[in-house]
Amino acid sequence: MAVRAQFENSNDIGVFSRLTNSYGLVAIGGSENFYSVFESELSDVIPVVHTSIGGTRIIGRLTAGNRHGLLLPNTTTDQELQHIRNSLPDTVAIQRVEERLSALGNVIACNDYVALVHPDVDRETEEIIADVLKVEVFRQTVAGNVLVGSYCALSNQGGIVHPKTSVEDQDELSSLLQIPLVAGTVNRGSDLIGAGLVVNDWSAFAGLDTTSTELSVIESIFKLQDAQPTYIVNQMRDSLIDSMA
Amino acid sequence: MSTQRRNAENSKCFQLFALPSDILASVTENTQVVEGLPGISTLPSVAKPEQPCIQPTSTSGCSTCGGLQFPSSEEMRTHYKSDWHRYNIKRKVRGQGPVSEEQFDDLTEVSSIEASDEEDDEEDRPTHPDMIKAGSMPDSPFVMLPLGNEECLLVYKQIFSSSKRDMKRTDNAALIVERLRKYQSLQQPTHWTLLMLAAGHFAGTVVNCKDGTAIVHKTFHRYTTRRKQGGAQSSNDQAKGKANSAGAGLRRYNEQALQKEIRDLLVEWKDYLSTSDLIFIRAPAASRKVLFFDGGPLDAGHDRIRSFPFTTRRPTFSELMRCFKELTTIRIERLPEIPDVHATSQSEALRPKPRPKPVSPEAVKDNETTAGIDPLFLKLADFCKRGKLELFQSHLKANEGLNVKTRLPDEAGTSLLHLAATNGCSEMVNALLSLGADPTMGSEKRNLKPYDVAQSKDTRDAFRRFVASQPDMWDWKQAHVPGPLTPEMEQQQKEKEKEKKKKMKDKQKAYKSSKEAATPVPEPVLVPAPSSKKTALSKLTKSERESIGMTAERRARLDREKRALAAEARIRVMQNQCGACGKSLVGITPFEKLQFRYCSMPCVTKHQILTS
Repeated sequence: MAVRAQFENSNDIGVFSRLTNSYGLVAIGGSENFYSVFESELSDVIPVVHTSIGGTRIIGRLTAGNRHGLLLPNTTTDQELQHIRNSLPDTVAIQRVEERLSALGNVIACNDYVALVHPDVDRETEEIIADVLKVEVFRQTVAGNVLVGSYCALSNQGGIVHPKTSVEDQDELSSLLQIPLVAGTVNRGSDLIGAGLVVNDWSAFAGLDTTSTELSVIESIFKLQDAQPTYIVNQMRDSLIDSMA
Repeated sequence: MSTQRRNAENSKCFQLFALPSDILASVTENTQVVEGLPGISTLPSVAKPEQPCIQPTSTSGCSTCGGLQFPSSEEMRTHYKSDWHRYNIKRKVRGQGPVSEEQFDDLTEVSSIEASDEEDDEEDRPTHPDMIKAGSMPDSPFVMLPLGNEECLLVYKQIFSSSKRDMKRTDNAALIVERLRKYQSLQQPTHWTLLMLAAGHFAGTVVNCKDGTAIVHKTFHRYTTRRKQGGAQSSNDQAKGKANSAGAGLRRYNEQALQKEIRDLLVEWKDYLSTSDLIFIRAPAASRKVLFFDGGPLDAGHDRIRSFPFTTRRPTFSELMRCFKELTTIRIERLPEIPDVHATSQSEALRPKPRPKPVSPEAVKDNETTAGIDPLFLKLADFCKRGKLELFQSHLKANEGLNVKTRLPDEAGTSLLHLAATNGCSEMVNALLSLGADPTMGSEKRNLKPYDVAQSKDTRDAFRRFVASQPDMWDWKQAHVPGPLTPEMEQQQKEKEKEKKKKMKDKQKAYKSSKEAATPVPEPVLVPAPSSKKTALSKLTKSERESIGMTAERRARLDREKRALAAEARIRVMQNQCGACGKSLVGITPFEKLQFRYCSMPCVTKHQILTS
């Protein structure tokens, strides 16, 4: 299911949240409305954690992560690191990264298998990304933009990239990522996909301005219509019970 | 790789240790060795991971590297991780077009990709392919052994001798051939050692020459180079002093640790090193001491030690193996034109002309400014600058035409007075002023008067003294001189200074003595001190010291009290009582002091304190 949400009158919810298949992070805001939207969708399945990064609320732009791990910038305080460590499952590796490009969310776009990163990212950071997130790392640009994290949103099912990405580039990216891609927009025509949209394998949250057309593109490319975590089980239950009987 | 393919078309390659006997035989017929020519472009390319050959039917291509197509996704992924692709990505971001793989191969400087790791170890490379191709390097790394049929054998010189001079002598030809023949019939196992050290990376291996396999090998990596700035921490420490950051400490430690690891390894490999036929070493000059150390198995002066005659990359095991392969490869090329006298003269022409002597910027400036100016005046200015008063005056006297008001022809419009003032020659200032130099003449840009540029107080005083003697000669306000300085004023100033110094001395004295008084003296009378002043105070008893600050009445009262106490004690003594507490002394042995008796030791001290 794709849901619209707003963080304190801002539609750029991707700036204030990070969503993966095994956890969600939301910024500490003035009201709990934003958090409630995430909690109502996700809390049965994965932990949703309130946090700040380095005292700021732009946690979505500063962090990068997937099912296997979470990368934090070097501005993260020890307290925040401890809090996140305590709140997330033990299977999630958490690592603070000493990288000059400290807005990790802007320079890394990843799903559970592949990561696209800014061409100037340090070699050592690249290794950390590969080790902690357990992904294959490719230095790439999206439609000529080096901030790959800002201009695309990826899940294991599919991805949306910058609206001006050429067909050849989409082909290239899609063959690298091994997922279907579409060029699209969020928030009534914004090309900052990463800022306006957070997705995992069964849910998506988009800014409140996102039109229904944009939402339908999102739902179709990320295969969200019937993608609930219990979907497969429900679908297969009958046949499973039949075979076991 | 593509370069290698190119080579393969032009030349045949053989292994050093498996040279066909017929080729070797044809070499021996020609005992003359021709030196390698500068124009040979068979320098090795660095081996790249296998690239797919182009197949137009493949699905998706790399648009960054000029629409390259891949047969399988595996190969595509390898390509996307290659240095070539990364380099092109960076070019694309900068808005530049892609470079082909061959061009990238030619860019031997890997530094653009691995800036932090590689830039500090490029200085002492023996050869640089581009330079050789351009013909600017007079020596080729190869020795050419001509075969019969207009072809020749190219072998790296370094294999036969460590110094280039040895190779120049043609009588070494027989030696080389003999050596080659020896390599073909290796009876006992022979091995070579290859060691590389650069930018915190170390790789070393001992290779069995017969089958080209590594007997032992080891690589280390430590974080020692400064990110972004480049260069080793130790060299930065030496150049700019010790940096105090955590990172610097880390790198310093890592350098030490790496050195220890390497030396331990070399000691461990002692047997291999001592029996190695040749030892190839690549290490920047600064870190050669890591490999060559006292008591170590390597000796820098040893004949077996060689350097790599071509560019090597980051020290890794695969790089070592590539280098071994490269070293042991023998190529057969078409013989280039035999160098005759004409050719040598040409090659001489190719050689860079002797560099023009470096000219210091100052000299350049002088040359520019001196154009069209009287050299006599320049000499005068020079004397002025150096404060040579006598020379200055005699020079001026000898040349009537010189005017002290003339400006120097530089941008600032300096006058002689400016020169004298900036260089702090107070006598010269005085002389110039009395000769009629204009102190109101400002410099052209900022209108700085000579007084403004004066460096020392002495020079400034010289101006003011002159004002005192000639108050109406110039408009001194315009010359920025504050006021005259008469001899009386100077006298006054001196006196003032003296007084000030005296006051200061007195103050210090008083402070010292008060400090002495404040510190308690434990045993005042025990040691008779030689100096009187300090100890006079300490010789006084406690009561005397206490009474120093008292009024006469209080002192009288204190005395009376003491006298009363003493009388009391005397009475007690007569009554056979303790002098302090009045306890009866019947039945106890009393403590006696002077005429008093006491029941106990505390009473003795108590009474002493009271009466003193």
